[in-house]
Amino acid sequence: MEIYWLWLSQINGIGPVTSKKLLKHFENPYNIYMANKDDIESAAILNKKQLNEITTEKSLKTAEKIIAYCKRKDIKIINYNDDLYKEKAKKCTKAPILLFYKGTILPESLSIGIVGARRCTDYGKSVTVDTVNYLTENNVTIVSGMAKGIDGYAHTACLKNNGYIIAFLEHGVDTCYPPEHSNLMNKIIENGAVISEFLPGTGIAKSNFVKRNYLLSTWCDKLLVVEAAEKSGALTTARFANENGTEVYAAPNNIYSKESIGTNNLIKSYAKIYLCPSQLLGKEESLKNNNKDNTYNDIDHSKMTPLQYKIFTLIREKIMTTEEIIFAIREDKGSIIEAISMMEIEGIIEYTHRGVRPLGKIVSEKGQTPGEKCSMPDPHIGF
Amino acid sequence: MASVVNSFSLAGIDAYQVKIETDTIYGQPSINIVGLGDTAVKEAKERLEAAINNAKYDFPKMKIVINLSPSDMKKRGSHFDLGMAIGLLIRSNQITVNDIESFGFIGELSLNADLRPCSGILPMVVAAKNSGIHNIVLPLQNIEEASLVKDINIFGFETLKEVINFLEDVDPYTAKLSNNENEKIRRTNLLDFEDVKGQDGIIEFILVAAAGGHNMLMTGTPGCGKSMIAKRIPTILPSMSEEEALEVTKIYSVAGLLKDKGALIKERPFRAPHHNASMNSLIGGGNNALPGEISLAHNGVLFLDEIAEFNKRNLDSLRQPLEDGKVTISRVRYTHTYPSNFMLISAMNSCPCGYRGTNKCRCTDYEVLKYREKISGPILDRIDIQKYIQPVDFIDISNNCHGVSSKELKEKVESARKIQNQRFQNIDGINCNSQMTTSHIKEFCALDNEAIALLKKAFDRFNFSARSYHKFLKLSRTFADMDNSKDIRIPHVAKALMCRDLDKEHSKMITIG
Repeated sequence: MEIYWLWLSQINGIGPVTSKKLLKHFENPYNIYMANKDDIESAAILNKKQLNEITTEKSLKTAEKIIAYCKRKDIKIINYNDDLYKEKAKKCTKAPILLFYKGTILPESLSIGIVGARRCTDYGKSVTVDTVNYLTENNVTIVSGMAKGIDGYAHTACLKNNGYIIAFLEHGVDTCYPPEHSNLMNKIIENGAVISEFLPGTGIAKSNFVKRNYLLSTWCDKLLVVEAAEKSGALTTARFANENGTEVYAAPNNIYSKESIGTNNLIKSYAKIYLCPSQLLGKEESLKNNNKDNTYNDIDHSKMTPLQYKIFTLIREKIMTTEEIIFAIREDKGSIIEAISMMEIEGIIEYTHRGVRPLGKIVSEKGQTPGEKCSMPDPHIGF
Repeated sequence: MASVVNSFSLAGIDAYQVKIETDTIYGQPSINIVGLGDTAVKEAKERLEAAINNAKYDFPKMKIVINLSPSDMKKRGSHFDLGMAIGLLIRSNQITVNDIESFGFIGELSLNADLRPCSGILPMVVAAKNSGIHNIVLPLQNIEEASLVKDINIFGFETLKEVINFLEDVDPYTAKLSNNENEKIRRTNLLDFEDVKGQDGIIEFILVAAAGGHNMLMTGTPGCGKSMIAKRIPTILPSMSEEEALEVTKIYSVAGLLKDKGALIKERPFRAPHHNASMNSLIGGGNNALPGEISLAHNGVLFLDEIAEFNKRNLDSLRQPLEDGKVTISRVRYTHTYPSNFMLISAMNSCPCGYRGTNKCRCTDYEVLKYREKISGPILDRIDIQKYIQPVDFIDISNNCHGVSSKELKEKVESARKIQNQRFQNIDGINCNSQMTTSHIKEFCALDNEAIALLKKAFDRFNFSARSYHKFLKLSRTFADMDNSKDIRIPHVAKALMCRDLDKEHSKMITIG
C-alpha cells in the first residue's frame, strides 16, 4: 500500500488538497491507481491536465526506489490515515498526505511549537530556555524547526531536560542544515523525531521553508514566537497557525530592538502576549516568578570575606568586567581575582564573556548592614 | 698538485668544514666546479674570472677543476668565492701562502674583487673552531658576527687584494671597524607594558604565562588590545643566557636575517606570521630546508593572531614542535633539525562575527562552538591559559590609570623563573613549569586537602575535562612560585581556576556536543 501512497504524492499538479478529495472518493490510493480514466473523470475532482497526469503516470519505479532508499537509511514513512499522524494536522486541508521521519513519533500529546529568529539575542535565548525548561517538566512535546537561533535553543534545552521533541525540516530527513546542528539532529532522532514532507535527498529551497512552516503550524496545539524581525519566517508560521485556529503567543520585547518588530506586531494584531510559561498550560500564575531576582540562590553574606562582599555589592548594580572591578576597588589585583574565582565556584556570581554578574542575593536581617556585621572569617575557610 | 683551501658549508643551523681543491690541467680553457653546488656556487666561475682579472692577476688559460669536498653533500651559497679565488691563485703560483691549512675563507666576490657579506657566518666560525682552524678570513661587514666566537683569530677585509697582501705578509693586519656602524643602532625597546592601561587583570595572567612559560590564547572583540598586549610579552620575559642568545643568533644567521646587524641577538625574538602563512614558512623547509617561523621564534614568542583563520593543517603541524621544542625537516637531500622552543601566544575573536559579549553579536552557541573548533583539540590542549580580553572604556579608565612597567613585571618573572631553575636543575629538558610531565607534576604540585576540595568543587561546577586537571596543577604551581611560596595554597588554586575562560563558557552553552 505504501508504494501507492508514494505514487500518489509524486504526481505532478496534484497537491495535498486534491489528493485528499480523491482519497475521500476512492478510499485508498490503490483504488485511485487502479481506477480507469472514466471513473476518475466521473468523480469530477480533477481538471484535464491533472487527469492526464494521473492516468499516464502509472510507473511505480520511482516509488520503489524511494522505499528502498528509506529502508536503507532507516527512514520511516507515515501517511495521512496513520494513527501517528496528529489529529489536529489531519484537519488542515493543506497538510501533506505523506511524511518522512526518523526517530519515533509518540501518539497524541500536548505539543507546543516554539519558533523565532535565527539571529536572536540573549533575551530570546533565555526566554526560550526558561520556557522549554518549564514545559518539559510538564511533559509537553516541544515542536520546532531545527533552524539556527531560537529553534536550535528550544531543541537543545528540551534535550538537556530529557524532554520529547519533534523537529520539522525544510529538507530531506537524511541531510542536515545548518551543518553545525548535525550532533543536535542525531540527538533529536534518539529522543524524538525529525519529520519532513520532502523526499529524502531534497536540498533547501525558499519555497520549502514556507511549506515546512505550514506543517509545523498544523502539528502544534499552541505556538510561541519568541523573537522575530520584521520579515522573519517565524511570522509565516504564526500566520498559518492563526489561520488553522492555533493559539499564537508572542513574547513582548524592547520596542527599539530589531528582533522585536515581528513579535510586537503579532501582539498588536492577533497573538496573545506571552508573559510566563504557565500561560501555555492554561494556568495563570503571578508574573513575579519571571523575575530573575527571585530565582537567585540565597547567599549567607557572613560567609563572604569583606573583599568578596565589596565586589558583590558592586556588581549587583550592573554587570562589570574584571578590569572594571579592579579599577573600582583598587586593591591588590591578585586578591580580587582570587575573590572572584572563589565566589564563582561557590555559585554566588557568574564570570562570563560580558563580565561578572551576580547569581545569588544576600540574606540579611533587617536593619543590619551586611559587611559591617560580619566578623572577619578566614578568607579560605567557609567555602 | 692541487691546492687545498678551507671553507665551510651550512647544514641546518650547524656548519661543517669544506675543502676547496683546485687543480689546473692542460687542455681547452674551461672551469668546472664540482661537489654538488647550487646555482650560486656554479655561477662563481664568472665572478672568479672577473674578480681575478680586476685584481690584476692572471686567470689561467687552462682547464680548471674546483672540487668542494666532501663532494657528496649539497652545498649552497656564494661564500665559497673567496676560497676558490685564493686556491686558484695558489695553484697557478701567483701567490704563495705559508701555513694555508690554518686559514678558513668565507666571502662572496664582486666583479671588482671586493668582498661582500654573507649569511650563516656564526655557525661557520663555530665549525672552524671545532675543526681546529685558527684563522678566519671574511668580509669586513661580517666581522662583528664572527667575533661572537671567542678564541679564534678573525680577519676582516674589504677587497681580494687586501686579503692577498695579508696572506703574503706584505701588509700586516690592522683591525678596522666595520663600515656599517651606522646601521648598527640597535632597535631599542619602544614597547612597554606601561602603555597597556586599564587591563591590569589580564596582565596578571600574562605575567603567569611568562613566568611559567605557559602558552596562551586570548579572545576578544576586535580592537580590545589583544595584539597590543601580545607584542609586549617579550619585554617581560627573562633575559636570555649567552648560550640561548648564541642559539638564536645562529638561527637568524642561517636564515640570512642577520646580515646588517651582525651583533649578538640579545632580545627575545617576537614573530607574528600572518594567518595565510604556508606550512613550510611556519615550520621550516623549502628548497634549502631553511628554518621557519617557529624556529625564528626560538627562545621567544610566536604570536599567532587570528589563530582560527590559520589553515587547520598548518596549525596542526605545530603540534610536534610544541611538544618537543624542536622540529626536524626532512627533504630528499637534507634532514635538518632546528630548535623551536617558543612560547605560543595566540589571539582570536570569540565568535564568527567577532563581537560576542556586545549587543551587536547574534551568533548562536552552535556557531560559536563551530568557529572555535577550527583550532584542533591537540593544539588547544597545549595552551594552558585561555582568557577573554575585555575592551576598556578608555575615557573612563585609561586616563586615570597607570600601567605597570615592563621592568617591574620582568623582575617578578625573573624571580619566579629562578625558583623554577632551581627546581628543575637536575632534570634534563625542563626549564619551566609548563614543560612538566605527569611524574613531575606529582612530585612538585602536591595539594593539601582543602585545595583538592576546592578543585573538585570547581570541576563539578564547570564540567572541566580530566585533561585540564594537570593544567590547573601546573598553573597553581606557577602562581605559587610568583608568590614565592613553597606550597601550593588555596589562593593559588583559585587564581589558576580563572585561567580557562573558554572551557567555562562552553560548560554553560546551550548546545549538544
